[in-house]
Amino acid sequence: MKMMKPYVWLQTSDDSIQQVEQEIAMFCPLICQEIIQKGMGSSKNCAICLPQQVSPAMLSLILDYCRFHQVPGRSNKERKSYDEKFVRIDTERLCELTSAADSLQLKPLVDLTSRALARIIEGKTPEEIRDIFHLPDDLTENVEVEEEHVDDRSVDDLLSFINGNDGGKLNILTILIFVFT
Amino acid sequence: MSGKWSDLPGDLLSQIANGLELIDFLSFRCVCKDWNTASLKVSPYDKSVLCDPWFLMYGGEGSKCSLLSHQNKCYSINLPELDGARCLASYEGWLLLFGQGSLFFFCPFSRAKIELPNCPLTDPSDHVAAFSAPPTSEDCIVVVLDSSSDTELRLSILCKGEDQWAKSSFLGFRFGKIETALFYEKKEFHFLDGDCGLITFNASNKTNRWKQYRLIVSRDEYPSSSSVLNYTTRKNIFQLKNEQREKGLLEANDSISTCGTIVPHSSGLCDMIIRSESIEAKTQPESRHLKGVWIQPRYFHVPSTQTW
Repeated sequence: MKMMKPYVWLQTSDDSIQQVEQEIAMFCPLICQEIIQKGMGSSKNCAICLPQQVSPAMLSLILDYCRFHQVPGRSNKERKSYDEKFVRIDTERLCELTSAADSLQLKPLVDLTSRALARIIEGKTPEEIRDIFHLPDDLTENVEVEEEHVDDRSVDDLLSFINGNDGGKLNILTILIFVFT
Repeated sequence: MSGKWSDLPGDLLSQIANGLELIDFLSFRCVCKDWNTASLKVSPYDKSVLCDPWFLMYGGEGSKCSLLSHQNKCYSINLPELDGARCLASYEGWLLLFGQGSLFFFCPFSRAKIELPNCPLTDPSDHVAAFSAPPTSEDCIVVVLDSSSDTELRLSILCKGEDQWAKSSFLGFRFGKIETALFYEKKEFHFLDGDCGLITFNASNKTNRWKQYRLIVSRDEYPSSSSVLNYTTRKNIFQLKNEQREKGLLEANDSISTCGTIVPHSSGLCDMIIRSESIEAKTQPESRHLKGVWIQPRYFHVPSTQTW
């Protein structure tokens, strides 16, 4: 006889209710708590009410993520490559996904999406960031830095320069000593 | 659904800010009020590993300053606090500045400012200074050395939380003009002239607070009467850096005086002192006298109510 896979009922922010595999959904600590501590989700009538950040589209993305990582025996390389592709979505969806994952307390996904958002911010001016994220320009005074120009020399050149590579490794041995005068 | 799609909760914003490099972090802070508030919860450079110092150049046109990162990127930054001011010391990301008749600590990245009471000087020339710990630390001691006299060094000392400067002076001083000051091995202040003179001052001693030494550079053998210092010094770093750049930081008729700092040497074996420098204008008449300081790129958020 074929065993029925246990399912759990979830209600998303648009009030729609869907059935998902329990072992996948249990990846999210918030859903896990609802099931174990409150006995919720076992039927359509007592569906787990998900936080308002979780739309059906976001739930579907999150469950994809959980489904992939729930499979045992995947190599770190496979997982990493999946994660990289997973966050290659537009910034709007990435923000929604971050909020949704955060509301479900799914920390590995929050870390992943936060890093992806940080990479979007990197190297941009406040104005460019405001444009991308549709944010208001409501600050009056702050330290604003603006990049002027980049010198062509590589970082390695500069580091060796600061640390005094002129004497090769010997430089480290050049220690000052003092004698009482 | 909640309003704007970029309505990320504050703790998520803080987490994102936490993963940014200093310059990106500064941009993050300037985006909007919500992001700025979130940034106050992180102090990314408190716990960061140390990198090579950055160089901050000021005193050219009012509050407009240039910042050169360890990756040799040049940024412009507006810092009204540096207009007309002069940096006397730089240590662990904090600057000690003299400006408008007062002495204050300043973090250029957060613009955190901590004023010191009863400034002991009126003219910062011929003065060097050092401090033993960040100004937020209970152990912080500030010393300001007046070396305008050829025979006597006059030191003003202020401990954290106090408002009266103690004085101590050293006679029988026989070296050149003191150019660099630092706090050594959590124990004593060192003052170096431009050559091989070293004067030390131990603030916790009741007597014999001052000593003078001659520095010897040695690769192997050294006399038994000597001790080994755990720092090495580098001269003319700014000059070399400026000459090696495709586009110099200085115009031909600019002069500059720089304030050095102390940083861990990349070998991990000792500290490295970047000496203060003074460079004359190549062509006369001099158009601008610039000032500069080496600084460890750290960000300190200090509440505005913080006092010395």
